[in-house]
Amino acid sequence: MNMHTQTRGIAGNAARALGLVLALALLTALVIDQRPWDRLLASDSRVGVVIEGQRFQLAAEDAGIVEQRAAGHADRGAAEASDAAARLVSAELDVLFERLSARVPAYADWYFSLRGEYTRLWLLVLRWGGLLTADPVVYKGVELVFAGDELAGQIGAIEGRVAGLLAGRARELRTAWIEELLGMSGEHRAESAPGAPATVVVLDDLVAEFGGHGGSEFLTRLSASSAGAASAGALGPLTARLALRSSAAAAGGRSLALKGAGRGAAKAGSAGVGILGCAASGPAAWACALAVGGAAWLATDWALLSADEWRNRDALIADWEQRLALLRAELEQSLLEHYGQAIEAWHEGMRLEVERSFSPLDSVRGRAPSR
Amino acid sequence: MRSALNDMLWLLPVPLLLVVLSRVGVLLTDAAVVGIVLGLALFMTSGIWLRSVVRRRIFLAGALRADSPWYRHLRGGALMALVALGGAIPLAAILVVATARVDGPQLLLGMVLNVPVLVLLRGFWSRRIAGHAVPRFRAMLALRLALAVNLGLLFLALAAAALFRTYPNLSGLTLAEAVLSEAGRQEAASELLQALMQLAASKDAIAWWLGQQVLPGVIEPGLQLAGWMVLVATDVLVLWSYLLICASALTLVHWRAWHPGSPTE
Repeated sequence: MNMHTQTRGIAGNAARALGLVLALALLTALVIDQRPWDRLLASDSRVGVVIEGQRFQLAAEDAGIVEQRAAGHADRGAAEASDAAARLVSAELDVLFERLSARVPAYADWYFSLRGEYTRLWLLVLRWGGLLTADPVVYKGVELVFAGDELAGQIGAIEGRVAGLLAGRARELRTAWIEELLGMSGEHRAESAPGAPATVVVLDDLVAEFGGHGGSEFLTRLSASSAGAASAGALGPLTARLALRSSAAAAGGRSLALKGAGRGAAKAGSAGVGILGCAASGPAAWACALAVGGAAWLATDWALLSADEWRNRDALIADWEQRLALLRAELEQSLLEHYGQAIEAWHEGMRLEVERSFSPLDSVRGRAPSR
Repeated sequence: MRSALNDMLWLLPVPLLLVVLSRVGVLLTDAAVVGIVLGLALFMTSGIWLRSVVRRRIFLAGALRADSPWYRHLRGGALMALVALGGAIPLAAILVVATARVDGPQLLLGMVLNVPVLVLLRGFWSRRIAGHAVPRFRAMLALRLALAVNLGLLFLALAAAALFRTYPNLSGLTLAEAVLSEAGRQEAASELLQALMQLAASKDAIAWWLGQQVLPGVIEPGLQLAGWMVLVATDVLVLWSYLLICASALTLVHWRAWHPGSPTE
């Protein structure tokens, strides 16, 4: 009997000891391992949202609405940025090329002046001598109309303003998104109780992408250096491009050279007639011949230039207007292509970030993760 | 042996309750928080009151004649229980706040593993004082000694663990910024609990800020340990609250055996 009692006592102690060890082990596991608590306390219907350190909770279906709005926000933001960039580029180029067009008459004045005539001849001589490679007429035109390197600087300034506009748009998009999100969280703050929601969506990267600082590096693409590289391609060696742009311009150059040769013959004839009048001047005949011949040459040249201006000035100005219009279109296309690529990459980055940021919702919505 | 195992099993619900409280505490409403604090305080009061009664009896046994009527008047009753309850309420609140704020396993792990330690210490002291103590006071005296030693051991263990914990980097902040930052991180459904948690977080922020601004200049490891012990000294109240609840559990289990009886007995 005593033996039996003793055996039962040992078994009871062993059972208690085992139960105690197991209970202590279980408690230790509950202290160390958070997962059972997460499963126990988490509510599948709630989604935690973290944005710039602020946390709130939404119902899963509301979180889906937030995702849709984020995607819509990205689409709208990119489209509006693209439109705004196109409008600003167009307006800025309008102003710039209006100013350039206003200089074309001054170029025509130079072209049909005696000074212009002899400068042109001198430049032609330099070109024939191999000392000048560019078309002297176009070269001088670029110098007068574009005021040297001013165009490159003007285009750089336009790029800076467009980049500033787009960076501002990105900031506005980011701010509007945060405000919209916080507004939505205010609507649904009833569920802002602390605890562990089943799914947590961290939107910090998405906010950064909206602001242009994300993976698409939108602001970096807009930086002055990259935009300058794009416009440099458009401007290029401007004189050469203008010289090659229009065959009509080249033909005009040839006809002008022919006209110059014709004017030379007429001027030589009028100078010869003047020199003949000095034959009776005795020892001063050479000086008289030089003075009278020179004056006759210049007078004839001036008269011929005036006639040429009367006939060709409008054509010359129209030709330059056409060149400027072509250059403007090319520049606008080049700039818009550059900004279009940057905005498209930004848009793509935003859409990818929307998809990535909200991908934890896939499990809540019971669909396979898209990535 | 069996008695010790039974005591350990009886004590297990205490750390279990605290572990659960650490996970769900921030989800509780004001009423639930008040209920839990009052419940824990009442539970604590039973142990505190009984130890006070024993202390009073020991004093009266030495101070009064056995036939004095004051022996009965001063034996300790409802008033003593109310005083005990007055002390137990803040201790229970401290324990609830500390467990709701707990962000590492050290404290809870210490509480879980302390269950056998307390029972073994009580058994040890019970045997050690068997030849010296009056039998009817022996159990409570052994418990008092065990509690004192256990508090020291727990505090040393947690102070050592505090040396290896990771703390928020407050080195670049002013004291006010550190306090506001830590207080702002506290979240609870109950506004009452949140306010208490913010108070406790402010106290922690002050301790951590001092630890990061002052202690790095102390090179001697012994002095550093002493410094940390000073800074975490307030945690002693948490440990003491926990031990009081454990002691109350044991007291309630052994109420009949441990009560010194009425003065007329």
